Amino acid sequence: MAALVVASMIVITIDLRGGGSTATMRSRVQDAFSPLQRAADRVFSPVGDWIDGVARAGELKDENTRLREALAQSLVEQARVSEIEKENAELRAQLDLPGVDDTIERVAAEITTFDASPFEDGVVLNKGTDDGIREGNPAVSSEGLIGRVGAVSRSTATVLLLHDPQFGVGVKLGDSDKAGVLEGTGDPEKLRLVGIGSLVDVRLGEEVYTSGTDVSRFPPGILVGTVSGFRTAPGATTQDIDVLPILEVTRLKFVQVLLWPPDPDRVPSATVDPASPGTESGESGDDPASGSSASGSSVTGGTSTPPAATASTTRPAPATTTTVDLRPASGTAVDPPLTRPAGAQDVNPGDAP
Amino acid sequence: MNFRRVVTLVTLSMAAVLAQTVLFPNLKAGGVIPDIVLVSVLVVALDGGPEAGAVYGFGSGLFIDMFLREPAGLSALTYTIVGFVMGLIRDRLIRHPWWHYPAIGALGSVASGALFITLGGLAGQEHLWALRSLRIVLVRGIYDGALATMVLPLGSRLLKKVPRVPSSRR
Repeated sequence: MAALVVASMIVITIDLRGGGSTATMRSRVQDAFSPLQRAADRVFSPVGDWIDGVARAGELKDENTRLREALAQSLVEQARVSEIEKENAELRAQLDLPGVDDTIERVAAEITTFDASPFEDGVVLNKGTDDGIREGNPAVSSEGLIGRVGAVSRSTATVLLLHDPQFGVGVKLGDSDKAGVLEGTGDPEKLRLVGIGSLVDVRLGEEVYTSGTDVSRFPPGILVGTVSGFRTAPGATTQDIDVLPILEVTRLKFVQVLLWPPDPDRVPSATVDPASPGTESGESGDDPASGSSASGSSVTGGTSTPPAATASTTRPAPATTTTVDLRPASGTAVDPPLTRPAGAQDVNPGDAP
Repeated sequence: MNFRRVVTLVTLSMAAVLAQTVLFPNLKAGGVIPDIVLVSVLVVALDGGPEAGAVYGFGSGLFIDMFLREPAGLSALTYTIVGFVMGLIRDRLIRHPWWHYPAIGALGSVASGALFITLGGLAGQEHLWALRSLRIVLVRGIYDGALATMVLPLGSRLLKKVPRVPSSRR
């Protein structure tokens, strides 16, 4: 007994003097014992958990209830934060409108629903005249043009989308002065560009921007789409060009309405719409032709650099394998010279003589 | 010394240390872990007497010291003394009422705890000299008493099947 006590005291003394020998011994013993501890842990853990659970059943039940409530609350919060972050990112993206004059006033609005009319392709925004939105204002996103405000109330606005057959806008190809009129076809995947002379060089994938003439309802330099195909009917003086819209509107949640033009009186209220003879431009959109012919000035949109459209809501540029229909038109296809009013060629500044 | 008994005691010691380091840290009562190694020392002391208790206490104490942060040898010294004293008490017990197991467990635990914090304080572990330590000693005494109620009879029964250490060594 005495020997053991003395031995214990010697061990304590050695350890307290910190020679390191006891630390080494501890380390080795623990290393040697750890496999056994791990094995035992596998055996004991369920037992321990069970005993612990039995002993704390009531407490665990309360804790479980609390944790479930906290988890549910946390999930709700998480979803809310995620949604806010997403909205924030979208709104931030909307603030950046490449190619659009920064001085143009704009109103950010949320797309609340699609237009209820079965005959129109539009979306309804949660902002209206109370926020300064007027009929005819362009609706854009950071990637490009979406459409224009077709109807507006105090708190809502309906945007007529690009592909609606009632839609028309004066456009130009790339940063050139090849200008024409873009019309909706009713097909979200295809717009029709008319007014480009048959001798004008058009390339697949070429970007189409708003031309933004003096009397245009759209400012210049807004990306609209890319050329996905073109053809010239026999004897026609203009080409019939297919344009793939840059945006998939169904994937958008926020848009910006440009309060353009700043002075609505500047836009003639009853100019002839070349895309839809017999209708007024107030109904169907833009008329680059009348603008250029009236003012005699060149297309102002040419001053801005065409922005690159790389955001997620944009469509990819058409592949080089896109079919180019060079066959003669069947006669039932669009025939710009027949559908457009006389003098249409005058309004195409890009046309070759 | 009977080899089989030695193997049994070593196995018992390892099992106790294993349980102390793996199982019981998850089974706290009142925030306190019981001392199953001490209970195993009591088992051996009640079965083999003071010398066996002291030897087993020293060995097991040194073993568990390898897993504690207190100075090595502190548990060994504590268990040696407790094992020896409990062995002496066993020799003086005339009757074995039903409550003597929990009583021995609780008494041994409190004595062990008090000794540990006293010796630890003397060895420079001043943090052991605190009111919290006293609370731990008392709660652990109750826990160990309850544990001893089950473990001591089982352990005694197990060790009775193994030949004892020759009494001539006492």
